[in-house]
Amino acid sequence: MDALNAKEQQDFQKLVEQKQMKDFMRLYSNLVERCFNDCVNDFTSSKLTNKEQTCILKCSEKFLKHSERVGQRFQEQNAAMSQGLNR
Amino acid sequence: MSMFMGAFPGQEVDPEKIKIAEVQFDAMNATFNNILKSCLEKCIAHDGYGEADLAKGEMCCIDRCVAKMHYSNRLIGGYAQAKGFGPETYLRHYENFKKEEK
Repeated sequence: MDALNAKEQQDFQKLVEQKQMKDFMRLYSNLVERCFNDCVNDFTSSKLTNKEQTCILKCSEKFLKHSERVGQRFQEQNAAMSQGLNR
Repeated sequence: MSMFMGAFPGQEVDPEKIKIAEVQFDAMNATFNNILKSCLEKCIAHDGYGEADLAKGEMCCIDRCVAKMHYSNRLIGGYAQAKGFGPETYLRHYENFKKEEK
């Protein structure tokens, strides 16, 4: 495939930005879904207990750290692949 | 005054090329999101978020998980290519609709 020229690259960049926003929203809703389901199971009150709150916060941080690490490793794998270093 | 006074005068946009770049991007994006989801499921336990940081074992698991899934992807890609795996052979029912359109 030919490389994109500067104008095409600009258009493509816009497309990627839209996709990134959409992807981010999905990541966020996945985060809420997972941490809510894992941390909140008691419905005797409509307020989050302290324990549930700490659980949710720790879960969220862990989720983000997981995403970050996977992103780093994924990039490394891609870089290694394009250099043909990988098996 | 020329009407081609944009930031990049004289450069044409080929929608076909943008489309190809988009398909490639989507493929990579799908792969990444799959890895993200699968490795979360495999490496991070659902109970007891006692620690906000990733534990040593979890980090190790994630690193191996990403490497393995990346390789699995390529392995299956190679196999699929060798077998002639594609929409033409495995999604035959689409043919019916394509014919009707003509």
